[in-house]
Amino acid sequence: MNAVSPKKSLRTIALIGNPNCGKTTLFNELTGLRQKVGNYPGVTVEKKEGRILIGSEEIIVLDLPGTYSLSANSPDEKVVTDILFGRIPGTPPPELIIFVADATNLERNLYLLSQIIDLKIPTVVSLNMIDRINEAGIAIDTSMLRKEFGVPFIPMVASKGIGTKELLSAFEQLPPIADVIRQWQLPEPVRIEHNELVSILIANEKMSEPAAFHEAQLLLSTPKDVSSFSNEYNSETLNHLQQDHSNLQLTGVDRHSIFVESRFRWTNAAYKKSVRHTTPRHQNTIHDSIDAVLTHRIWGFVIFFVLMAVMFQTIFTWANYPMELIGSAFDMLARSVSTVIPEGDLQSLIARGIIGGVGAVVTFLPQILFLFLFLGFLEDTGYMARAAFIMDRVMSKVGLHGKSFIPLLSSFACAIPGIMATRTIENQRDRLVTILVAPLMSCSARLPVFSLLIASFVPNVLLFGFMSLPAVVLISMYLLGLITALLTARVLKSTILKGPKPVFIMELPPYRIPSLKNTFIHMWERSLLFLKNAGTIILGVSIVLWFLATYPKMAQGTSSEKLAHSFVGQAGHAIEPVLKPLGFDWKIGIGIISSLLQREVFVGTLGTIYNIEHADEANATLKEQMQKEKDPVTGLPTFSLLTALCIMVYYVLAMQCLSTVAVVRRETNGWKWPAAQFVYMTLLAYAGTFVTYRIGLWILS
Amino acid sequence: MDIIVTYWQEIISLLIVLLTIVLMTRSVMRTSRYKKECSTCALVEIQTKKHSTTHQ
Ligand SMILES: Nc1nc2c(ncn2[C@@H]2O[C@H](COP(=O)(O)OP(=O)(O)OP(=O)(O)O)[C@@H](O)[C@H]2O)c(=O)[nH]1
Ligand SMILES: [Mg+2]
Repeated sequence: MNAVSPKKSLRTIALIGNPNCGKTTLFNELTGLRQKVGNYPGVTVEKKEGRILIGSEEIIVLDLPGTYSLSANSPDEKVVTDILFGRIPGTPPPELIIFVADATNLERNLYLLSQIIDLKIPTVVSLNMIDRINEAGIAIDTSMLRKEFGVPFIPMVASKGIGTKELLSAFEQLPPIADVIRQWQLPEPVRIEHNELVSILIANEKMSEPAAFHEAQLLLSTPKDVSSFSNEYNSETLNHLQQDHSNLQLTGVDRHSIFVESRFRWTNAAYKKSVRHTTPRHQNTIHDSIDAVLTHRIWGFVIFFVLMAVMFQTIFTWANYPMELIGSAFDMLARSVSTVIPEGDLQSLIARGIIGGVGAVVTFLPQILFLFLFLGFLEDTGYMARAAFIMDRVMSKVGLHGKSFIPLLSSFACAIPGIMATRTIENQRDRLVTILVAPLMSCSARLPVFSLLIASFVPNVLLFGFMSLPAVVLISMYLLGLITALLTARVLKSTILKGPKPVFIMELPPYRIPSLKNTFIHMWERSLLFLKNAGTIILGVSIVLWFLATYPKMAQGTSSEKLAHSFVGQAGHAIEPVLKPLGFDWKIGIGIISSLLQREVFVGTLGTIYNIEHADEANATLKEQMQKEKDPVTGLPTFSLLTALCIMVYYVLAMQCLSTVAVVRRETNGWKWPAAQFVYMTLLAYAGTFVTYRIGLWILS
Repeated sequence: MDIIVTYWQEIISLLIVLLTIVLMTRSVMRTSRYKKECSTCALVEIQTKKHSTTHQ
């Protein structure tokens, strides 16, 4: 961008439409950016910005969350109305709108379109997913639609980039809309009251005509008491509104539904004129039969758990080969560093501190990639929404929505997008409950911790002849997280965040073949992120830890005595009393403390510490070093299957992630909830680990 | 000779440690100054100019 041209002068196009109609796909296509796309409603939850050239003009494009109407109330949908009415300081309302409509679902999409047209902002309709209309059994007359709505309809396939040129040239030819005629009609008495209120809002509240037009409908149909608006409107407006409410009461029309009905009457008529059904409606399709199985009361659950089991099994077996490859590459690197640099501090810092720490973490990249491959697959096929649907029965026992299950499922990847996804939840309390329990779901950062411990201490035997014990242990850890999350939600919902049971309404998206390009781009970005983390946070921690584990120096002694004498050793011994009840030694304790930053740091820390401790001996993998590790006093092995389980339970339950704390603070507007969450999860983790350890000892004795 | 190598290695290592600590503190300070976390890349990101134009 030219530095002289001020940002303000750029015009803005907003992408508006129902959820899951392809807005973000189109946005990515137009701007070349890579925002997240997925086959379920509610993928985009906040405004995203990009730029394009139309002709020679640079224009800002806004991707917005999907919404069914302009009167919706969840935080993500509110973003749309806030932007359209210019309620966000510093963001003027858009000059142009691309209305993205799902051609296979036009009936519903046209309702929102009619609300958008009322805003009198120049609009072009992207009639998306035109590739699917044959399958849906419909034929669409776009010129009729254009005549009815007075805006151009451009057939498109956003996922293949078809129609973008036509869309942009439609903008260039757009006639200035001085006056759009609002074609839908209100019954006479309502129309008169409505018009009056519009004029009052314009005069008293200094609203623009379109904003007043929209607001008047909301105010006249609101189920709330007029007095609840006393902060927003002056008393004269409210008195008039009160009068309107009682007038409408007298005329006998249902003011709550009359606006929706009148609008629907018009859009439905327009729909009937322009869309022809080539096959009879509501015919049972193959999709319906698949749905009947996938959302079945029993089979649905069975399939869900089988899918999960297959996922973890493959994460373990397939990822093994590339992991060993990466492991030996780092080994070689460490060895060649040791030959190039003569023995001394620098050699120790690079070969043991840095390569030991960073290498230990990077080894797990393949597993993370497999996890994302699977999750991407679930999101793109449309299974995600089905999972939410079958989980609705469980969730409602807890007092939550099936909708809350999508943030929880997203948290398998990372709690941060999971917490962002709670913006689709309308009820504030339910949203808060979901935010508070989301980090209990096992995220990808726990995977390195789990799989290091499992690979080192869980014997690789087959159960029932087909499930490997390591995979079973891994699944149990994920289940432990899920069950604890549900129980915690239940407790929260029946105590401090009491509220009525929400009703679940969610659209099941059609099944789609996942786009490979999409999935790979997503995996690529996740690996970059993972490697970037390893190259910054883990690298930094490894270097600092090397220092703390090497100084103060001791002239004589074995390397493990030197380690015990170092800062890390002394700090570790100081916290040992707290760790004893859990069966942890001080090195594990140091790992836990350093990983408060981020969970995978635990693996890096152990890598660095054991490498320094075993400096006397030949190179060994972290796994071998952990298996060899002995308690200096008792001579018993530090790690056993039980210790490994205890550490895993701790990591399932504890909130060891600074970024999550920061996001919760932002999403809840304050420190109160993240602090409470951190405390409750840490206590839970301590108690859970303690119980596991005691039960384990009892079984063993 | 050996003494000198050891000595230099110690100095360089300590310098690296120092540099790391400085860089880490700086990035923490910067993050807290901008206070804007980037949800797209799922990280508490430093909002540089380039970053904010790719996604806000
Ligand atoms: N067949 C077909 N699929 C499409 C087309 N455009 C988008 N999709 C798919 O539709 C799904 C939804 O796309 P998104 O771009 O995430 O939809 P969105 O409108 O941004 O959804 P929200 O952010 O949830 O409101 C994805 O699975 C896309 O791959 C199209 O033209 N044809
Ligand atoms: Mg989107």
